[in-house]
Amino acid sequence: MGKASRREFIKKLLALPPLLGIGIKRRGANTFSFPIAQTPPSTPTAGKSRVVLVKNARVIDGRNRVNRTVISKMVNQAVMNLTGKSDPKSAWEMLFSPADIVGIKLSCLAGRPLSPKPELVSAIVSGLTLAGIPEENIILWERTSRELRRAGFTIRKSGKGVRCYGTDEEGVGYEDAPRFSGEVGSCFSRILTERITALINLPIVKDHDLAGVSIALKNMFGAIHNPNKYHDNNCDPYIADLNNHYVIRSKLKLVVADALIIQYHGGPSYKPPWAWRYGGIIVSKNPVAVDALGADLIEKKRKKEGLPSLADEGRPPKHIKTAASYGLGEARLDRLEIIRG
Amino acid sequence: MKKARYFKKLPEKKVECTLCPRGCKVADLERGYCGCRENHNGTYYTLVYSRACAVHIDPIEKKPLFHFRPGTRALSFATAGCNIECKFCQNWNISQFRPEQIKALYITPRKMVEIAKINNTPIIAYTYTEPVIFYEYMYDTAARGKEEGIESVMISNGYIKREPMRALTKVLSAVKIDLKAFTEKFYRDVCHGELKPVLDTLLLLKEVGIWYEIVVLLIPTLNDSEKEIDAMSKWIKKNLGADVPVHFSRFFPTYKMTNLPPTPVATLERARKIAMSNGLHFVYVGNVPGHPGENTYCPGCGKVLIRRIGFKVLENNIKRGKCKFCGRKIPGRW
Ligand code: SF4
Repeated sequence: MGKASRREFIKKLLALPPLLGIGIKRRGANTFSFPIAQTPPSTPTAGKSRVVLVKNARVIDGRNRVNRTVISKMVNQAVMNLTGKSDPKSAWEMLFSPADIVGIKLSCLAGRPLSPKPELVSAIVSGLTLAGIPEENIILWERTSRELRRAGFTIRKSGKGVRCYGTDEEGVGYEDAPRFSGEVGSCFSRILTERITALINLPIVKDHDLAGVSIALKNMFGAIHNPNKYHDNNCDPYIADLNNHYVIRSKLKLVVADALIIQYHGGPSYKPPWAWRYGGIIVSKNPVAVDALGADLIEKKRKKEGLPSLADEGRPPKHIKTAASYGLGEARLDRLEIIRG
Repeated sequence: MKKARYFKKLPEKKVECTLCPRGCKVADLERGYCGCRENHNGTYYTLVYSRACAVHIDPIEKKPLFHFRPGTRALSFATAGCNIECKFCQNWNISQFRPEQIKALYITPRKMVEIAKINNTPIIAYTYTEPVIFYEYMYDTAARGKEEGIESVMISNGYIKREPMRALTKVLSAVKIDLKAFTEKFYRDVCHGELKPVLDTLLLLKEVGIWYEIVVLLIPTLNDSEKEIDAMSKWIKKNLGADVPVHFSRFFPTYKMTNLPPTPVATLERARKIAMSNGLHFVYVGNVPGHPGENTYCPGCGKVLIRRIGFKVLENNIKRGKCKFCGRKIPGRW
């Protein structure tokens, strides 16, 4: 509400006869229009154990600037390795159809230094356009537009080009009633449930003070209205429960984890002493595999730096195993097909 | 954003919130369980100060407070958020959301008191969601109101630590506590909370001598057994005394609890009977408009002192705090 209308409201409040009432919800009424997504048939993630790790020392420099050409090559290489196709176009076409409305769920809590790099997002958008998806049918999203702005993205709700906005935007919001999966009962972002047909999960690889790690599985906490209610017991089984919900399982097509900088301790915010310029991306259809590999990178780095393991700090990333036990993917590294590019 | 009043700094820019018994330990940029307090660089902030998301004028009977200024109206407001999560919450669409997910108006404590005065409401009620989570806003509004002759009442789950509650009682005039059940199991499984801290709050309220009443929402099969009501009312009698009003209120299915029917009126009547037989003097039936259990009866002569239908006071036979018929002193703030 702008200052003027606030003043008006107060004026009205002061002038009102004794009985007055307001009860205000942001959720609900649409003030701008979007294509309405059709829910595709379920595509269970179980059994998809291929995970691609692409690293390139030249992708990020000493001032954390990302080389567009290198990141673009890395993304296409990863998608080709994942799909077994020999050219980027065929690879992207294997993952998405031109009719898809694709939502890319970013992870922007930590601001610009530790959010998905815009150059990485651009490379993914280019790949999607190779698959024939118009830019207008690609939505970069987060919980709030403020988080997106702070991470370096420009809000765009209409017009030409890629859409980018938070669930908190007027006319977007959360669904009116909670949906359940295990113990998790939450209202989902309407971006996920109504506006997109396909989901790309784009997390950061980072340490988390409660869940142990926050990578792909934890990133979906940003799709519900009440993540703060699910922090007990290292967020377990809540993270797994949430990812097991049909709404997520049925739309998730790809996970691209930004491991250009890995926060191996002190997360989830950016803490320079423990930020590791790793120069990688982890790509899979399977969020459990991405998390298992990402958590392993974090644990190994912690050991090298003389830090206790996550378990010794009382925050083992239990949710990864729980998610695997639900059949959401493979968590054991020796059973993953890890392709290094 | 306003700095929170109760928190401790921890290493690595973490904080520990010391406002409610949950004691959230929160990393930088994260929020506690209630979703409306955030750590910024090692300092904890409330995100809901002066951000009212619901404002109404209600009869004081709606809170419900039956022994506090009967027949008056209270300017009632809330912000987003709650420090527990009852599966049967009637106001879940504000209590279980984060502040940025709910539209709010910027109303400072000073302005809120002004609104109360202009609308001739002698009371401000902190209600609808859990006021513990907007503690600083409530405290400053109540303090300002006190200076201006406006009383404040807190409608709460009682899930708050001793020190902040004690400080708050200095600026409040009355408190209503929701006693959700009398078992830790119910608190844990249905509310994601704990019983013990709520009982401690009740003991504190008695100790400081502020006026308070208790509401118990009875939910079929979950907290309505004779054994539980018996144990609860015995505890109240023993620890708080016979004069604290207790309202047994009717549940209606909502939010995450839609699989149970509304509470049968007979259950409420049975609970009232048990509590009265255990020696409690003022036991009410709530959410059943027109039920005789809504009236206040004199424990001395048995006559109707206050006759109510729903939130309306039809007759008040309390004169200068005493029963007009037999002269017995009636506890409350009249
Ligand atoms: S008031 Fe909120 S942040 Fe503080 S301990 Fe309670 S739930 Fe946690």
